[in-house]
Amino acid sequence: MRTKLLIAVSLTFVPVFAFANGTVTGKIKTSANHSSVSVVVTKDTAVCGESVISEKLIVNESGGLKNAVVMIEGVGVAKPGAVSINQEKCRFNPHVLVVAPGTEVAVNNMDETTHNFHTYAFENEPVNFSQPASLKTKKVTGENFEEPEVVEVKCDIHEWMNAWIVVSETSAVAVTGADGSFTINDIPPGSHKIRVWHEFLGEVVKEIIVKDGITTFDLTLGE
Amino acid sequence: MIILALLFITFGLFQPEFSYANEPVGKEIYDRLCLGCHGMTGKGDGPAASVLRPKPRNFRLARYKYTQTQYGKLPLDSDIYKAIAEGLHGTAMPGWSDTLNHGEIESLVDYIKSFSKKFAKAKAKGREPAPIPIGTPPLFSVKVIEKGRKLYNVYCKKCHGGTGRGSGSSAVSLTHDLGDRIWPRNLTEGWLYRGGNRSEDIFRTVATGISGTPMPSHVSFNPEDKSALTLKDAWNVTAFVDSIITREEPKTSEVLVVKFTNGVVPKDPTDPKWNIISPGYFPLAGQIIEGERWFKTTLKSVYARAFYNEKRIAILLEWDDPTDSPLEKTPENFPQNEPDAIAIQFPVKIPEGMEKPYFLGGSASRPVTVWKWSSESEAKILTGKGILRSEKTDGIISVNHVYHEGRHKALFSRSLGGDTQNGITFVRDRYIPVAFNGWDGNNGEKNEQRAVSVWYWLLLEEPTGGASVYYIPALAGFVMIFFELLIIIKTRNIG
Repeated sequence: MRTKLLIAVSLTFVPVFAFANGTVTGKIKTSANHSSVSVVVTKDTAVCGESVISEKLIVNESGGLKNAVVMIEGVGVAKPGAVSINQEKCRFNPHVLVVAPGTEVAVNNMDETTHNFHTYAFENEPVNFSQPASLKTKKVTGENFEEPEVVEVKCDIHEWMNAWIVVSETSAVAVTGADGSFTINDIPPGSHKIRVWHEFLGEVVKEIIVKDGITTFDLTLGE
Repeated sequence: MIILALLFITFGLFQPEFSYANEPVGKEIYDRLCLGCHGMTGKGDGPAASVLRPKPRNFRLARYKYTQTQYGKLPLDSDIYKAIAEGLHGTAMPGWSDTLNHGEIESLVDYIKSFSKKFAKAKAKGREPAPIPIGTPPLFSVKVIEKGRKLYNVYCKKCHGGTGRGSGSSAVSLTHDLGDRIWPRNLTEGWLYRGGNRSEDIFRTVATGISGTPMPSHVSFNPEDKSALTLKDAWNVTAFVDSIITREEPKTSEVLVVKFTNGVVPKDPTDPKWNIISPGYFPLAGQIIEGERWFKTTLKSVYARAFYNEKRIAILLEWDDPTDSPLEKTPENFPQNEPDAIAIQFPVKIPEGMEKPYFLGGSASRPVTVWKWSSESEAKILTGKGILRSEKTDGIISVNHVYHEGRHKALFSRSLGGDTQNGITFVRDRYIPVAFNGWDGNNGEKNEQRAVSVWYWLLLEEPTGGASVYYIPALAGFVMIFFELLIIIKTRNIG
């Protein structure tokens, strides 16, 4: 609570003394093999198909890593908004979702089969409910995403279905796109800690000096 | 001196065994009784934890499975109290109500809660745990059960299977929150329900799920969720579960009585002739003595029935297993795919005295005959001189096997007479040691990693159908009464 207050106070005063805020942009890459792995669908093939592409590691031809989370620590205070996640063709969409503490998450089932939505949370209160086709939308309260934590979400019925909900206190956070690129705006110039997390390749924390204007940050994970 | 002695005696008499005054009572009890499994700091990592399945609770996570609160919510004090007082059936957690008094258990609850900050945090936020409403239980009529069955098929079948034996298509890929493999409950075996098997307990589990496991909450407590299950729906599901549950564990049969038949012994495991015999119940347990110990067996028991005629003996084994291994497609997280198997074990020769072969596969001096069926190879007769020292013989055993919705049936049939290849010869009037071993392939069971039983007995019933047992004592009784009357009459006449 106290640190949040401190951040809020500093945010109020910093712009008065600082230059215009900068933008951090770049690419997260990996040297890991980029050939896609397919997972055999073991049940409900009528709805889910015979196989699905694994989302554990999605890399494009030039090594760009999708679904990495890039976060600049202690910058900005994320505010809860309304977000949603879909259970769609026996996948979660999106696969990585960043939310502010206290965000209510609407879970939609688009499939004609029963799923469940189970957060493997430890800092937060976990939730696990069944969601048959008839229960189109169910809201998970912000109480389940209050503490900063990377929470794995699973549908236990279809074991290949997982997603990640990243509860982030800072608003300076982005998820990389299909080519591994990301952009984070509104970073006060100066020295910061930048944290890059990926579900399979792990986490790396680096120092970054942010200038006003554009600062480039590229990183190769899993070397 | 006398006074001193008196004082000493008095002091000795009235000194309570433990003095809790001004001491953290809960901690003292915890360190004495709970630490061995749950660990010094409540992490569930005590010295005994490594051999326990399920693992002891990690109190630091403040995650409790059997609660009156919603999924993922903190438990009520009374939930922790109940687990301590009554224990958790089917686990290593015993009930402590005989050892500890009410106040002691209460202080233990407080101490256990102190391992996690979550209780204090929830209190500070005004979010103290509250029990879920339980609504009004309906009468479990045929109509209500039918409504429940329909909901069961949508909400429960994917894990618990069509017959409730835990053989749903998703049963093979489940883990709990800490990553260990977990199997759905076989709903027909009510004595293994850890959260209790009263209707109210079943209702609560349906409604809230089991925290930390894939068993989800099925009822929404948010009035906005119009299409989620209601309390009434959860009661209907409860009515269906009530219709398939057996609450009391069957009594272990010490003797498998083999029924005589004048005709042929049944060749089909589904032959209606089997219905005239009620099955014997023989519990199994993980093999934890020899080689690679096995704590995680999914096979809990074997049901056995048997017939014989002048030539052959037929033994029908039935056992519940969530998977018909090897599977056509295995899930990515559990790719092991061994065959399923079952074995019946006898001594090679019926022992003359009370001494039986070693129950785990026999020994060189007292070998065993093993009839083994496996889903991948032909049924065979083995001679065993140790759990991993068994050799196939040229003996012939025929096995007819079916698997349906979580239940295996294997019908073993062999000639009564044995020889060097076939092993044991079956004779009447002798108690013959018999034991059972089982393997669940998809659970990774193979070799010595199996479920085993102790020795039981097998007895060939007399061909008369055993009726003489009933009428001879009755006849003797009548003869006695006749003579007694004769004596009474004679005495009267004398008088």
